[in-house]
This record gives sequence, structure tokens and C-alpha cells, in this order.
Amino acid sequence: MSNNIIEVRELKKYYPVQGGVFKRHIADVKAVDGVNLAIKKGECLGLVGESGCGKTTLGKTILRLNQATEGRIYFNEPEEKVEEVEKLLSSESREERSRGQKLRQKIDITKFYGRKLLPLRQKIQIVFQDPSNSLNPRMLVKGIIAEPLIAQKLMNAREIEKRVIELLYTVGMAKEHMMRYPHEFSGGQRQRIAIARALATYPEFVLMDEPTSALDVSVQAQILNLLQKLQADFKLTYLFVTHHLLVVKHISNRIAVMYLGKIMETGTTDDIFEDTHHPYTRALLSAIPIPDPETKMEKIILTGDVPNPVNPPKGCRFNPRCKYAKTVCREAEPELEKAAGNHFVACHRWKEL
Amino acid sequence: MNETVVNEREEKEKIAVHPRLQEFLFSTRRFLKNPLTIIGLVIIILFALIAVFAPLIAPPHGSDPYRIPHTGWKMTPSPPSDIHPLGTLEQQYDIFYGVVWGTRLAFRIGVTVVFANLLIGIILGALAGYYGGIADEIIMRITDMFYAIPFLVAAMALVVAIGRGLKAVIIVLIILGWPTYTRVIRGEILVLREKDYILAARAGGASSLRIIFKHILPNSIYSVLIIASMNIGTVVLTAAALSFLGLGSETGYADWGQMVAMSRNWIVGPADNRLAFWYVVIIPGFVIAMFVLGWNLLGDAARDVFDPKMRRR
Amino acid sequence: MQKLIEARDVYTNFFTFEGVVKALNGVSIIVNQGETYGLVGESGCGKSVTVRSIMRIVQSPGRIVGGKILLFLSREDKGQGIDILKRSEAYMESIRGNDISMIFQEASTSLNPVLSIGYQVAESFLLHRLDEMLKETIDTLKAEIESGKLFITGWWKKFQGLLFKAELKGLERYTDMVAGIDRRLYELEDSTDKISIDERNHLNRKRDRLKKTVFVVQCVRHLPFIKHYGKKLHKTIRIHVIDLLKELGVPNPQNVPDMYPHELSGGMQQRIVIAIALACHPKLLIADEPTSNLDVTIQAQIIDLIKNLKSTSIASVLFITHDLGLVAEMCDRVTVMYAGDACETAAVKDLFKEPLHPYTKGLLRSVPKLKAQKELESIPGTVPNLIHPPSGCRFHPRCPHAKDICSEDKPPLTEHSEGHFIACYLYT
Repeated sequence: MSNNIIEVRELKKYYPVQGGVFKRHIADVKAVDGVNLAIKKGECLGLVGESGCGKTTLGKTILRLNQATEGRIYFNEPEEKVEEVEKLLSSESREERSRGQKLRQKIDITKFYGRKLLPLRQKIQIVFQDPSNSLNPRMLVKGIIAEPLIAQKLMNAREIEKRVIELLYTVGMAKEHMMRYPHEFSGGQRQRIAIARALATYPEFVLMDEPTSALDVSVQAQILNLLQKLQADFKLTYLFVTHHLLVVKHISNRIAVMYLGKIMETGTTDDIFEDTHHPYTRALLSAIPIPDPETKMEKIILTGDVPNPVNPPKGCRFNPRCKYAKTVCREAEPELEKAAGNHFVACHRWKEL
Repeated sequence: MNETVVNEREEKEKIAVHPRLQEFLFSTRRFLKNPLTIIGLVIIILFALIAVFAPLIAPPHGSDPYRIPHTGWKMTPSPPSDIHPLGTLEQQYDIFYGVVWGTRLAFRIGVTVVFANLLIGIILGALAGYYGGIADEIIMRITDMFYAIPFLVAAMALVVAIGRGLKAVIIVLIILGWPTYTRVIRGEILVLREKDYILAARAGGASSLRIIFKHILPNSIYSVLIIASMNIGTVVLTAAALSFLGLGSETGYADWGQMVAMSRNWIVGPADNRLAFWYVVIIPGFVIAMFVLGWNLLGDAARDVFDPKMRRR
Repeated sequence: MQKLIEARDVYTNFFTFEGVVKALNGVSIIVNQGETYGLVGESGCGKSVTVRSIMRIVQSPGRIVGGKILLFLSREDKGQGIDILKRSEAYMESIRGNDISMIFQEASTSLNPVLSIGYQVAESFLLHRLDEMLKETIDTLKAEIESGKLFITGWWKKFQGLLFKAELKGLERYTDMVAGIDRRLYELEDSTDKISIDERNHLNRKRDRLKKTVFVVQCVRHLPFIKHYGKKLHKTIRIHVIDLLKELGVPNPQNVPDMYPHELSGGMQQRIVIAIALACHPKLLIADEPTSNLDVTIQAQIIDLIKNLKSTSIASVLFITHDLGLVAEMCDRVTVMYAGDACETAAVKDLFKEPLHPYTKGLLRSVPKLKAQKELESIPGTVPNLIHPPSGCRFHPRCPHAKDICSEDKPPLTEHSEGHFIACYLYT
């Protein structure tokens, strides 16, 4: 087994824009546009970016809630096998490519459908942003938490009840809460219920889609602590999607910064915060409001808005807002380059800056 | 963690009632707080009682209880008397008997038609809304076609094509009624489909059928039920209109529309007493109006209670 | 420092189906001239209700049931302030937008989607700075007439000028009348005998009537043919609108007035909302979570903008947020609210350096910081239901230092050290 639980290769997710009387396909919203990402077993990878940068789409595509337009996602596959398929797919000869395609059908989860997806649904789970939206208002807490167990027919009724009670205690709630409706709970408690549901099938990988942004500060701290505890207790791997940089700093080991459907910089949390290379990451970091009036950071204020993902700018996607942009940035798209160890940057000029 | 400790006190105050029952009681309490609801409820219950106890209130004579007995062939209606508590129509059909058994018929028409409509509407709406794509396109274009034809004209043409009679009226109303429900259900599902709890269910491995029946329909059914309850009145009204036009039941049948049709010639009395035959029009007409009003009031009240925006939190 | 607005023991309740939500439990805040005042707390703590009470725009079923809101505009208040809760709605309308402007969290819903940006900003000028605009238009007309030669257009321009002058005169007369009524009302404010109460009611009614008359007169401007004379005025206003947009850093301000809200991004929309709020030079800008729906980089732009404006065009800002980071960056003084109570009021530096109230302490500790930390501390429990709020201090069920008295009486807001107010029995 490799130490990568998830490997994302050249993933693309386009949403078609239709127009006219006959709903012709006019253009694509390039929500995720060629992302390479590896998530190591047991880590918490923070995926940071502004709204509309495609971070949630990326997460949902990994979960197979969206159908990927292009690209491969491998879940829990040995490294050699992945490399072999990748090599075959990118090879020159047609024969090898078709052999690669055949092999890929077996291990690429974007090619799994129907029954084949069920084992995956057990191992990969999700916690959504707004718990008032992610819990069915007409179901009891018991039914909500048991839903994945019932849907996948994993246990009988008695075992399910036992499991639900156990889960409620794991997330810091009580047995009595089982027979209530979601609207009787506060935001924090609802998020606990959502977390319990995600843990029901003993998953290995949980996608955290902004799990604390709809919560208040004091409750956010409770939930973050709970998530850390659960990660340690059940050896979970998290992909923590958020726009809140201080939260990501608190909870993640590694961070990936996304902008307009592309990864701009990845590295360990310390790399990103202490040794920032990409000008976008720098601007993002300096924009965080720091809850301490004594420390004054110098602000880098970006001009303009995030461009429309239907027509991303040519060259480096960040160039219209980047004050260091040069001709090369407007023409060629930078690849992720290794800066040090595990630190990768997609910028033409990171060495000079 | 500590949260549970704080909430413990609240917990003990709660009486041990099953939460579903509690929810129902809460809704009922809100439902009954509106005076209009009470009026609607009383009207409908009264009608229901009349329908249920029809054989006791007005004992039938012949083999077909829906045939109004008539004593003689005299053309002029006769006013209320001991034998005919509400008077008679032309050819001496008893109005009281007609009203009582007409109630039964009204319920039969209304409930059959609306139930069939709901069934078709929910199935097609769920197909169109959840799966989208070509299924959606085809179903929605068909409903558009139904909307393009004037309702009453289409109903009349179809009834004539099938052959006059009550059965034909019911079939036609079923055929023409479902597009409304399909549209509403589809719209609701389109909204719900993007909700996070549907995604969560999919992430949990739930099949499409399970998602539709367990997650989508319980959350979308209420708006359709409200429309359905209002439509029972409308359907009866339309059936009455068709009967009035001479397309429904035959003469002498205990159908409110038919009774109004038979009183057509007696709306205005002779020159010396214009209101001589008031009872022939007013009584069946009033009954129809009350029936429709009752269902409408109930539907309105149900909307106030079940509309998620009006609910607590 | 001179006070600008003071809320004294304000109680606001919402009479809902489930029961009476006691949203504000005697909140007192004082915003001084020239400062940025922060109101911070978790959702449902009543910070928005506080400012809505101050503006008297609490939506039904909410009602202000007690307290005083004093406005110090140095016009006719003799230093004691005007209690705006006692004034008529027409008076409030003249305050809102003129002296106090407000911007909301959702810029997209504060803008009318079917009207152009230019129209919406211009409306603010028309409502609040009509006299200046009229004067300016008359001046430009005069200049044009003097330099112009064509006979017919000159004549038409003279006619326009006459109409504008008439309008200006009417407006001035109206302003005088209103000012007279307001002066008289202020004199009557404290008297309680029947005659003056009658007079007060009469004056309030008169003021409302005047407002209606003006509305009818203004409708004339929209009549066909007659409305064409107004074009000149709109041209003048448009110049001001473009200037204002330029000042706020809106890219290509010449074209933006012709756009519609949906054509702009969230950050731009918020700028337009700010432009509308600033069109009338308010003395106080109330910003109700203006950046909560924006991205960090756009938030930084807007915050920077408000800070700049603070130093140039607006006197004071009342800034509502749940983000302690923004408070630290923006504000001079801050009040921390919890479940309808104002817990602690202090200068920002003092508050972050030495928080006193147990809730403030907990709140500050539960925020993730830039420095690495092992585990976040959190406040146990959840925010109470305000239909049945806890007795006494509303924080006592979650407070680690709660004493017997805390559940019995509401602690008063007392001054602990200079400028540092706190409502907690630990410090009395």
C-alpha cells in the first residue's frame, strides 16, 4: 500500500453554459481545470481559496458527487500501480495508451458507477458547511445518522441503534438526542450530528467542506477540537476545504492554495505561512484580519476581482491582479515547480520574489 | 461534551411523547388557532357526515340510490312542504334527496379525481425533476401542451368523444388534471435536489429510489397536498359545470350540477312573484359553493401551517 | 470627546408565535464623534437588533419596549440629546440617510435589481442634497446662457432656470418650516402638561403632512413634457455620482452608472452601497457586517476603503461584526454583546490585552491565532433561547465563575477603569 490515500491527476470539471432556444453548448465554466493533488494517509490537507475558485467542486468530484469531465482519481491504490497506469496513459504508442485505459477502468474511481461505488461510499464521507441545510428536516436524528448504514444495508436494526448511540457519544451528545428533529438543536449540535453521520460507516477519508464557517466563534472552537480528537482516535484523513486561513493553520498539516480552478502553491503549513513563495498566497495571508491590535501586518491589497472562470486569463491565472506580472506570466501557464521538499509553487518568478 | 450537561435541564422538562406525535400535535395546534380553519373544518366534516349517513338521512327507494325519486311529472317545481322538506325540482324531483346523495357523489368525484391526479403527478414530476435530461424535456413539453388547450373546451370535447356520463367526466378530469401536480412536484424537486442533505444521502450510498422516497418526497409533498385539498373543490365545481352543460349525468341523477341544470328554467318566477322558485337554484347552488369554500379554507390553513417559511426557526 | 449617539437601556422584544423573544436586555452604548465603534458578538446576540433599534427600523413583530436613544447633532439639542424614540416617523426619515447611513451585509439585496446603478446613487443625492444640486444646476445654466448665442435654446434655458429656482425656493421654505417645527418640538420635549402634549401631537402630525405635500409636488417632476426640464439636474448629479464612484475606487466610473447590479461582483456591489450611503455626507455610518459575504482579499479592499473614508469624509463609524480580527484592525472602541446583553465596553487595545468579562475572555481564547497553539479553548454550552433567557446575567449558565447572585440579578454596567465598562459581579 502506498502512503497516498487519494491521488488526483489532471482533474478537470467543466460546467456547460447553455444558451439560445435549443440550449446549445456555448462555453464552459472551468471550475476545476487540471488539478494534481496527493493526500497522504492520516494527514489533514487544508484546501484554501476564495469563493468560486473551485475548491468545493474539487472536493465533491473526489467524492463522486460530481462527474469529472477529465482526469483520474485513485483511492487507496498502490503507488506502483498508479505510476504504471499514468505512464501507459501518457505514452506515445497507441497500443500502450489503450492498455492504460483498460487498466484505468479498474482503479480510477471516476469510472466507477452504481454498485461499484458502494464500497467507496463506505470509506469516503463528507461533512457539509451548513448543518441546517445538510440534515433532512423531516427525519429524526436517529434516522439521519443511520442513513448511510441503512442505505448500504450494513447492519441490522439492533446493531444500527447501538451504533447510533455510540456515535452520539463520540461526538459529545447524548442518547436522548436520538429522538429529536434537527431544528430542535443549535448550529453546533447540528454540526455534531452531521459529523456523527459521516463517521457512521467507519470511513478512512472525510471531506470537510467548510465545516465551521456557518458557526460562531466559540462553537467553532468546540467543533475544531472535536475534529482533531476524532482524527487522532479513528486515524482519519481529512481534506479540509475552507476560506478561513487561521482555521486551516490551526488544523492542517499541509495546505494547498487554489485560485480559479488551479493549485497555486502546496506545502506544509509552516512552509505556506513562514516561507511563502506565491504572490497570491502572500496577498491572501496578509488579508487575514488578525485578532490582536498590537501586531500590525503590512497589507497587500489586491486590485480587482477574481476573473470569470468561463474565460480564465491567458498565461498565469493570477497575472491580471499580480503586481509582479511580466510578459512571460501573460503568455505561458506556470507548472507546479518544486521549491523545497514538499513545497510546490506554480509561479514563473517565485525565485526572484 | 459539556453541551449535554447544559441541556440536561431542558431534557427533563420534556414529556415523554414520541417526537413524531409531538410534531403532529404542534402542527395541529397551529392549525386550529386560525378561526377560518375551524369554519372550513366544520363545513367539510358536516358534508362528510351527510355523505356517510346518506342512506339514513334519505333512504333510497330504487335499485340505484343516486337516482332521485320523483312523485309525478308536473313541470312546475313545488315549494318546501312536509313530504319535500326542501321542495322539488321540475318533474317533482326531491331536492333534499338530491342534495344528500349529491354530497356522496361529490366526494366520490373529488377524491377519485384528485387522488389519481396526485399519483400521476408525483410519479411523472419525480421522474422529470430528479432525473432531468430527456425525461424532463418530454414530460414538461407534454404538460405545456395540456396548458395550451382551454380547459373546459378540451373537457367537453373529450367527454363527447368518450361518451356522455359521469364516468366519462371523471376520466376526463383525471386526464386533464395531472399537469398542475407534475409541475409543482418537479419544481419542488429541482429546489431540493441541490440541498446538502440530498448530497449527503448520495455520499452515504443511498439509491435514487431511496433518495426520492425518503428524502425528497417527504419534504415536497406538502405543497402538493395543499393544492390537492383546494382542488377537490375545484374538481367538483368543474364536474358540476359539465353536468350543467348536459355532458355529465342524465336527468334525475343526484348530482349538484345536474340539479342546477334542471332549475335553469325556473330562475325567475312568473311576473307577479319573481322569487317564487327561489329554492330550485339557491339550494343546490349554495351547497356547491359551501363545498368549494370548505376545501379552500382548509387548503389555505394548511398552507399557513406547513409552509416551511412560516415554521419556527 | 463629544457624544454622537447614545443608546440608554434599550429593550427590544419580538412578539413571535412561539413567544416573546427578549432580544435586547437593556443595552447601553455610546458612540462618540470621530471614532470607529465596534459591536461584536456571536449570531443572535442582538448586535443587529441594537443598530436597527437605533435607526428605528426594527421589523415587525419586533418592538422597542423601553429605553432611550439620544442623538447629539448639535442642531437644537442644547447638549442633552434628542430622544428619537419620541419623535415622529417623518423626523426619523430626515435623520436616516441624512445624518446616519447604513450598509448591510448582503449588498446584492440592498440594491434594486431593476434600476441602474446611476439611478440608485442619484436617488440618494436627490433625496438628501437636492438644494446643493439645484443651486449648482442654476449656476451652470446661468453660465451657459451667458456664453450661449442661440436664441431659442437660450430662451428654453431661461425657462428651465426659472423652474429650478421655483423648486429651490419651495425646498428652502419646506426646510425652514420643518426646522421651525423641530425647534418647537424640542422645546416641548420635556413638558408634560396637556396643552403642550396636544401641541406636540399636532406638530408631529403637521410634519407628517408636510412630508406628504412635498411628495405630491415632487411627483409633478415626473409628468410628461415637464420632466424634460429635469434633465439638466440629472446631468449635474451624474457628474457627482461619477466623482463619488471614482473616489471609492470603482473601475471605469464613467460606464458603471449605466450598469445594473447583477453585472457587478459582490465587492463592487458593496462599494456601490457604500457610495449610496456616502452620497449625503452622513455623520455616522453604520456598517452591519459589510464584509461577511466577501472573500478575504475583497474584504481587505472594502475595509481599506472604509478606513480611508473614515479619515476623509465620514465622522464616525459603527461597525458590527462577528470577526474579532476585524475589530482589532478597524475599531477604536468596542462593545462585546452576548444574548442581548452588553457585557463589556472598552478601548480595543485594552479589551484584547486585558479582557475582564468571562465571556470576552472565552471568546478571545477560542479564536484561532497566527501563533501555533495546541488546542483551542472553547466556551462550553450554547447560546440560550431568548424566549426563556436565563435569569440574572444571561451568561451565568456557561460562566465558569458564576456565583449565586449571577442567577438572581442582572449585573449593572459599571466603570472598572477609565473607559473600561463591564457588566459582571466579579468586579463589583
